[in-house]
Amino acid sequence: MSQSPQIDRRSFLQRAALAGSLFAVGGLAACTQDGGDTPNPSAGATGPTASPSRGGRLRIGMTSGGSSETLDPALFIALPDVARGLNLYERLVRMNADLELDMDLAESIEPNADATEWTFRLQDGVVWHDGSPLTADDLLFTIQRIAAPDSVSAGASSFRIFKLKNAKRLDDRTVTIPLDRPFASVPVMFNDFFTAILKDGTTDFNAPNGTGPFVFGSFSPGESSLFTRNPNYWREGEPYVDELEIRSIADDTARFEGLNGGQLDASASLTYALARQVDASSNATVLAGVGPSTDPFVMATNQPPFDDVRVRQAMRLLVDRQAIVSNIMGDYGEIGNDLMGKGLPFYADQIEQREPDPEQAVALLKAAGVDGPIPITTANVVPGWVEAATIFAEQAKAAGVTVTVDQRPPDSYWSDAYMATPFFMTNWNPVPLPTWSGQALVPGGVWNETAWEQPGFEEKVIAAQAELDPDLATEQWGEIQTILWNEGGYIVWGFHPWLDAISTELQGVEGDGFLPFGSFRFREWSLGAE
Amino acid sequence: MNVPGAVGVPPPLAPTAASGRSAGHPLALYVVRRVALGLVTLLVISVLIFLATNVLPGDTARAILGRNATPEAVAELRVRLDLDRPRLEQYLDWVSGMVTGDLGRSAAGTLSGSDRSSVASLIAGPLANSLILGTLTLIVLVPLGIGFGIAAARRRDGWFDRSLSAASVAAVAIPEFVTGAILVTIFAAWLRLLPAVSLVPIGGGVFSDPTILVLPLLTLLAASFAQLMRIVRGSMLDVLDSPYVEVARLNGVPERRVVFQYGFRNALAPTIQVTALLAQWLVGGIIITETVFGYPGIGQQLAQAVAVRDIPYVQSVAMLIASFYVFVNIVADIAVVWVVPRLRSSPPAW
Repeated sequence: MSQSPQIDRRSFLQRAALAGSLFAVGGLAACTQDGGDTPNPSAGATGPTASPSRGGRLRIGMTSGGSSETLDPALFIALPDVARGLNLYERLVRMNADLELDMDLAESIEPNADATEWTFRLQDGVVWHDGSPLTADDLLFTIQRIAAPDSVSAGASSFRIFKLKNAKRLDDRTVTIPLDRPFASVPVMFNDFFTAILKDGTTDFNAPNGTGPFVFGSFSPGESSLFTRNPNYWREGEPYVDELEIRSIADDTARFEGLNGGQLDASASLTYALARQVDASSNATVLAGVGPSTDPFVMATNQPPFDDVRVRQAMRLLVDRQAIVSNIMGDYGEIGNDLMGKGLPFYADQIEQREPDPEQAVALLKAAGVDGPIPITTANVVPGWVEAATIFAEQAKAAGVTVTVDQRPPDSYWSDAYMATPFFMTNWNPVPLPTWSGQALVPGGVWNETAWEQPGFEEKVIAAQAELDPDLATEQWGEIQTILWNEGGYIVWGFHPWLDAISTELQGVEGDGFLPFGSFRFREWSLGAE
Repeated sequence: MNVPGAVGVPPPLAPTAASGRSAGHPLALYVVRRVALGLVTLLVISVLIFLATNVLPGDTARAILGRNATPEAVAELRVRLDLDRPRLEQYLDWVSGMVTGDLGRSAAGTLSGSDRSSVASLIAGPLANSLILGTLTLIVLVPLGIGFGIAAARRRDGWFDRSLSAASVAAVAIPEFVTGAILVTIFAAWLRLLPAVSLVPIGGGVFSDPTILVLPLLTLLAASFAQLMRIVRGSMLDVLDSPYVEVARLNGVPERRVVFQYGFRNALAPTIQVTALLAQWLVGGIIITETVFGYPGIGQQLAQAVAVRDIPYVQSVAMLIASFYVFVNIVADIAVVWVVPRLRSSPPAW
């Protein structure tokens, strides 16, 4: 089973939707200033330090989005879309391997004193594939397109915070945009791939124009695409290869065999079973990036029996997290502590790891008067879900608690079961805590899965989101997470990695926890050493 | 025994001379009736398909949006897909479109904003690829199946006959994805002779690199060869055992002529029927093989569409597949009537 489904659109769109909830007065005011990361070509998963070779065609195998594949960032759904998008276009910022925000196309993004105005300064000397220079107009156009009334983009509602009519141009590459209310986490909004910067006036995506390291060549949805090296790319020396070929191959084994047989240089979304087959003798190696992607169990705090906090605590104590992770992910993956976003800023590392305690769980359930079977709703939507629920049910049974697995058909799970039963499953890709809180922890949140509504809690969240001082913010988020750890409705049993397979010949490859292939940084890869 | 003693006269299924002149007329009528029946069948199927995909609980727009079915997104998509009209109007629109070649618009394609969202343009390439693979399979399968079937019948119960039967039945018993995996392991991983994944060279077609066709073809052959070969063998054995063949032999007809003109000619009817069945099986069987090899055919695309619940696409392609089945049935029925002289002179009512 692979750790990432064929069509990952739900988790991506959901991650990408920086909330219909209009509460996200976020927390990340400070952002690093350097103009993009300097790649270390030899810090690869393979090989010793060597000068990377140039030229050749890099052949990547991805999962398939079928006929939904597109080159319009506003409509990206499947992983191959993102792979193409992050190489044709670029975003203002980029979350790096440590899950911190680096500047990318933006040189700086600075707030005014009360975060009601933000000044964007773009990198100097960037040209579009068609030769024209990158200007602030392109940024304004991109924002306006995302926020347009007829936009189907996931970020439409959150991007309406920008008052574009009152934007002030300071020079060709600098613009100040006021907001319609104070908002401190503007920079991280531009990490989402649907915010890829488009040239002012773009309407047609058949031969797209971008600033990225690769130039459009050809594209056949659901099959393949071919891009060529951008000779005018603003990062000196990159990319190393001449051509980038991306293939959409739905079948996990076929994709992997393509790498094995020499037809591909890298194959994404490796299943755990296949990962075990890769060993020292193969021509491939496993690239693992553990990040905050997770598939928690969700208890609705407004529905019996989970409206009683003792029941929620009991459920959490029944779970043997390590057993589930080892069973499903083998050596990869990490256990969770019922808190979201491990590794992301403000994650409360200091809270002790919850250990299973079946006796206490049984006692709590008895005290709450809960006797009957408790169903957990799941579906084979994401590989590993049904297994996780089943293992949990067995762990509960061993303690004398009856948990039944209510397995639904996968294609109707999101419309019929998700957020419709008291105890179900969900999945989340990396979302910074301030943003995620606005989506999931406040009554108006678009994905308030646990129906969380504690008096005074929302105020705490708003205050923390507005806090510009990092130490104070950390303290406030710590408090919030302590409450959640004690009383919340999530059971985060583990975090799953991005597992990919790459040829042992490749240089310059670095994984991260955010997306496969180190967030598709193909511009740093080369086909060998000189 | 009502066979005249003359050599070369066709076996007992032959019409009498008197009815030869009127054979054309009933046949033409039969063709017309058969086609008309086929069209009625298609109409009924279209209603069933439309009901199945539209009247069951669930909503086309919600289905494909899944978790992201916010009210605005659902409303917008419904507008784009013209879903707010009465069902009957949608059905009539769809059916009349199918007849003129407009297969509707894919929900996934519409959602992704691609201007290639019409189902017809989406399936054009993959359908051609699948037709190529399917046709090639039949071109190889039919002569091979018939040839080996006849050869096995002539060498009945010998080592050739038995080992051929055993091997071919074993091949059929193994599911295609296992056969495919075995072939990939041998020819791609070990011998490095053929590609594991049927990747079409960018900018070219499936014939730009014909090696990508070999393993899928072998997989399909393995899954279908036994059926054809054994039916041919079986009917041949039946015929070769019959009295008129014995008489022909006794009359000194050369064995070769006995086998082909007397033997195989009478085994043609079941052979045609099983070939038609295999052609229909190919439509479904090709989906698995295409997926295993990543071959860019319609099977893969259809599997994707079902997974994301792209209902308009699935509806139209299901109709296409049904039309293909009906068409193959009509052709096979007419061919059998043509080939069997007794039927040709007095074709069945339907």
